[in-house]
Amino acid sequence: MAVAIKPTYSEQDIIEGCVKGDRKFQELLYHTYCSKMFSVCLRYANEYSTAEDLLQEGFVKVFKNMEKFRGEGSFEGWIRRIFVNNSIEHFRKKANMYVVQETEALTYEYYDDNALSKLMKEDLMKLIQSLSSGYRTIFNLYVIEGYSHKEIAEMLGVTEGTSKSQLARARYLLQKKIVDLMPHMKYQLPDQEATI
Amino acid sequence: MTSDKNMEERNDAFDSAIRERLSGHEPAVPHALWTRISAELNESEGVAAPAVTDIQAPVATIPWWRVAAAAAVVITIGASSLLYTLQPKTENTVAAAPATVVHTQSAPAIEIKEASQVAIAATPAVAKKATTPTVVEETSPAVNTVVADKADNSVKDVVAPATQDQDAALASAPAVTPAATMDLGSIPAFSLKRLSAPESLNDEITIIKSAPSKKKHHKHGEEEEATRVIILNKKFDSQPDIRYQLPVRF
Repeated sequence: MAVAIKPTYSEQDIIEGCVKGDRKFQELLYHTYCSKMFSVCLRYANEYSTAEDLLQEGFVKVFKNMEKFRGEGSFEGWIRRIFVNNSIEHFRKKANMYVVQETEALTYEYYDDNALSKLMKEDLMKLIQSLSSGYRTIFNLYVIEGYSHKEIAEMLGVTEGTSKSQLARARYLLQKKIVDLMPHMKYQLPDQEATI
Repeated sequence: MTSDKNMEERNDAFDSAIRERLSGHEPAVPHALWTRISAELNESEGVAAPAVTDIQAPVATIPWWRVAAAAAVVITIGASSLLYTLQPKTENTVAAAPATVVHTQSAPAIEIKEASQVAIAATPAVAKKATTPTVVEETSPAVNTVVADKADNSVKDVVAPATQDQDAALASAPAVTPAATMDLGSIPAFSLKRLSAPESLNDEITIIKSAPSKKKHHKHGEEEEATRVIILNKKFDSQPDIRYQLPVRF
């Protein structure tokens, strides 16, 4: 029985090959990170086809800017930033993306802590995608990517207050969607009010 | 204050639960995506698809073997036509090859069948005459001349009287309407050469009857009215050609 032995390349070999424009190394890099980057794109996109477009645009930008990678920090982090920035740029064109919402008292039904663990990853992804683009972007940047409100404000060109309010509303809507999806997992907290 | 702290704790718990839930999420990627990316990279690097002006229009080519076959057919047809045109006419052939005439004269059965429309089979004398050396000598110009001279009045010498059986056969033969009637004296020299031509099967024939004449029957000693019948073949040339001279009882 013949066993195909694939040659193993280090991350540095792949980077150097991509810098030279070698299509073989570019494909190797694509297959290494395509799934992780597609997950990023799905979170920032509102639908599957848009995520595909974001993934394609992101990899093209990665291959065109390979020589700019100086080896500072992780290579995966560098690629992820490119995809995040590309997704933000994609939705920045939409008007009224970050409309400042009026501060209002939101009384919400808190959900059970075990609700998320019982939720499928794909279902959670769809719930995030169902958020409006402004809420979704700030929620992803703050909760998933770990950016601070200050960084988000600089990235998106908004105030920190706007970032905070958008995040609070995005969080509230997401929890509400989770409860709506799994009504048996909710319970009413007495006298629980949140002022956002 | 406590409420805000609890809120922050709940939010942090919720955020960490989201991160934990989505960690390691690697959805399946469409297979064709790399093809699209590679095509876009090729296009951006200038390895684009050839322009429309660079694409040559398809030229209709004919395989060499078809050309060769067509040329062979044309050459064959041309050569056949040339040979057919240059080949000698039937009369010339007959005149230049009397031996062939003699050979075909020895097949009276075929000749009789060919001329069966006019009941030639009822004249064994003709067939017999054709097979005799005397008739063979008719192929020579001298003999032809002699026979031609005798054409107007030597019927009795050439044609044997028909027997009763032959008469019956003649009676049962289909009636033939003469296409033309001419005086025997105007008939030029005749020969039996044309009978050898296989085309005689399809010859267009004309029967010429002469005026009835009294003729004495050899066996019965009776006189009977006989008519000379001359079969003309119009296909070979315009010159009348005497095939047979038969006594026919009308």
